[in-house]
Amino acid sequence: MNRMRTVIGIACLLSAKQVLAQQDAKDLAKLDLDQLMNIEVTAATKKLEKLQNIASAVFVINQDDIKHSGARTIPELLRLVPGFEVAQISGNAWRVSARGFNAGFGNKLLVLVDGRNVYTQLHNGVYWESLNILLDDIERIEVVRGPGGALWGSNAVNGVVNIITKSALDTSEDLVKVSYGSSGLNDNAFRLVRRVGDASVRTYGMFQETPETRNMKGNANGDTTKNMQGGFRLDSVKDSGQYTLQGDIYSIRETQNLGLPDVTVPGPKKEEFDYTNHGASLMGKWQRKWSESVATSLQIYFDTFYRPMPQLEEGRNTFDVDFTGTSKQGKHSLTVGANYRTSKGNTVASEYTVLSPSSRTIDIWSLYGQDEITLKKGLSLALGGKAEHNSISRLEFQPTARLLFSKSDRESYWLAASSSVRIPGQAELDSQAQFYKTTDISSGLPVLVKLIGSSAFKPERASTFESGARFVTSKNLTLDVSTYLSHYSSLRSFTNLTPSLLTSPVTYILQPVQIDNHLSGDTAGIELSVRFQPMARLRMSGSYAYTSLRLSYDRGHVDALDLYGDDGRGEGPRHSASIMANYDCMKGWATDVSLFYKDHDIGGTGQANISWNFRISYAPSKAFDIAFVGCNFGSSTLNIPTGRLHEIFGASLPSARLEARWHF
Amino acid sequence: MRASLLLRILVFVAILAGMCESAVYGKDPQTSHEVIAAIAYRASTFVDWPVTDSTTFVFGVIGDQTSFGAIQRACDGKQICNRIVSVIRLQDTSEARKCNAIFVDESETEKLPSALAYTKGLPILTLSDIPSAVERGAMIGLFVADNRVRFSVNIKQSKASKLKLSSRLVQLAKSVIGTN
Repeated sequence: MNRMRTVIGIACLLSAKQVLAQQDAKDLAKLDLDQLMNIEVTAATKKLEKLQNIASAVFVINQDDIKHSGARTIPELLRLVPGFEVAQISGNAWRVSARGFNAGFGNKLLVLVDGRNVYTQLHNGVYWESLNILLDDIERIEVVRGPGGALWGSNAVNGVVNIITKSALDTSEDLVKVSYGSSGLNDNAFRLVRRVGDASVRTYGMFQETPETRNMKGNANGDTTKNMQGGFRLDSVKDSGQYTLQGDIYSIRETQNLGLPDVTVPGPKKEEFDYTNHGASLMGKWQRKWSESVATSLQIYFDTFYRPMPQLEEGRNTFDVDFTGTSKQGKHSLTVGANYRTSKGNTVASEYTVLSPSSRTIDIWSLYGQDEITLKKGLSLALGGKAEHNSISRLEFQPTARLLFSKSDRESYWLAASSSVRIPGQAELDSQAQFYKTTDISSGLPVLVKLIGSSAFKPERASTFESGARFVTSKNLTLDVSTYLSHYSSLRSFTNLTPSLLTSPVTYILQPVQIDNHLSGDTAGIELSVRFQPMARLRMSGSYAYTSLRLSYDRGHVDALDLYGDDGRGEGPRHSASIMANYDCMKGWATDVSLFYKDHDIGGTGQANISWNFRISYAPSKAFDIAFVGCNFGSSTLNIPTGRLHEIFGASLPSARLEARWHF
Repeated sequence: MRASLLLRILVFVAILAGMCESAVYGKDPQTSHEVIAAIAYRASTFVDWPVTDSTTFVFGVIGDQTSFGAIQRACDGKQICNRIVSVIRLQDTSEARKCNAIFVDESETEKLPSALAYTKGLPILTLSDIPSAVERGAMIGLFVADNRVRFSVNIKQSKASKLKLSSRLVQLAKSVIGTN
């Protein structure tokens, strides 16, 4: 009988506890300060609520996501974005794209770091291995899938990645990070923050070493990377506005074991290369709020780098000045801006790649404007566009129309129609010869493929229709879904010209291939992401994306490089998904697990692939934490975007590392 | 014997059920802005204002509907300094001068400098959940750390505005700028 009472007693006690915990928010203010300070809270959902008011497919990676992901690099972080295709093609090269087309070198994705454009105009794309940022200093990464040309200009055809670092005013702690891992992987960094009057200065240094990858036979690929980087950011808030000055400088030593197109030897001629990339940038920004409704921002930066790749040396200087003004008047919220950008690329030819002229300056002038009109409560229409004059294709106009209906703070729907442009790169315009070697199947003779560019190369164009919905339910469940239909015209294609048979130094076929614009087609897809926090200690998120490509060549043209397959459906994954879970155990212990699924690897084995990461961390105090991180488990191969153009290198290396951090 | 086994199983199941329940519901966390609002209100009750004749205490919120609603719920029918609290949402930062206390929400980060400029030297308590709010010149800065809401105080600013923060408030603060 006594026991029975115990049972009932325990049950009652537990229920009572539950009732207590479920106090109505109204009663919270009756609690005393120290009681309030002991209530467990979930991370603020404000950022998500703000997202409710954006009529495009936005995904935000915040500092918490960065910490729990276990990622070391920006491309690894971008795997968290639904529908992003991240392929590592060697120890020091990545391809990243949104909504398909990774086989096209990911040239439709624009990337900005604090407003500084890091998309380069030689091969059209981002040198991901040169884009290193102290991940602890990132405030958030805002990713917009789909066209962003109306705001950000050309090359934002399929997405924009906006990396935003913390203001020095928001960084209060010094940091020392030490990380050692398998095969000599290491990652060390420090950060110092000092206040000078009403300004704050943050400086940092980073020393990273990434070991070489291995091919399918388990042999080393000789592709190591050593990065040394430093920089600063100064922020100051005065009556005359907010001022930012920031700069970075890096030196990256890379080794590569390249297969060179030499017809005299059977197979590729392997050669080891060892070279060092250098780069630096300096940026100043002034933001001022003139009144409650008018604000302006002026930004100027200079960026320089030298990249002596074995095939082609490149040096580039970029200068950019950007002005933005916003004004709110009644139902109108107006944004206007002007931008000037000049980028000069100098190249030094090798026997494998020749550009003529060897240097080219691309100047871009642009004006943009957007008006967001509140039609009625909860319903708003944004109309905008960017008019751009560039030194290649002259005038481009990229308009957008976006309609947003917010049924409540927790439910919104949007529709959008936009057009966007990717302007030609230096290689597409000026390439006299880029050599690759294959073998002719019928005769068995070596084939030297010679890619030739043309000043007649046209910009790639896209028209995109999108729709989306976002829901925030109770229990911190947020759901974001977007769909899209895009039509592309004058996409880059490769057309075989008449081959010739040469007999010196050996008998081989010289196959010239013209880079032109004979490809067009449609893509469609859906992207879904869910975030769920059932309890304060457990956070979960998941994503799913379906991508469908239908590309076709103009009559009489075939795909010389076979980038998109016979059916024009591309080689990228059609279905991809991810699941992440983070559990704060107790007393500073936490565990994270992430799983990534692709139904089809580009190149590589072409098979379905599941890889997973884990992280176990322990933070005995606020000042110190330590984590054991494992990445890339189960991923059997490196994903080679263009197996036929590049040589397949092989397997990515699962890695494990121990990471310790001290905050002062 | 059998009955006792049954009881033991019952006890076990009850504890397990209770544990699961408390795991699923009992720890159901409050959203941070509700707790931040409650602490913003509570902290204000530990501040002394210069004496006036007014019977109402105006609490201005610069923020979105979520933060305004949360502060309104927290202060509903309450008193600060023996005056009935009236919560208003400020459209313009210049209106901050009419208030006795203002809360600048994270969603309006860019308005903090202007709000602080308008209230400079006036006996107006400035609270905010913007990161590093006290370093930027707010008197009470609220933030979430280890899934709990914490706050810092800037006594240098409160003194300059002739507001007195109680020693208890200062004691509970995670960090303090200036001396009492």
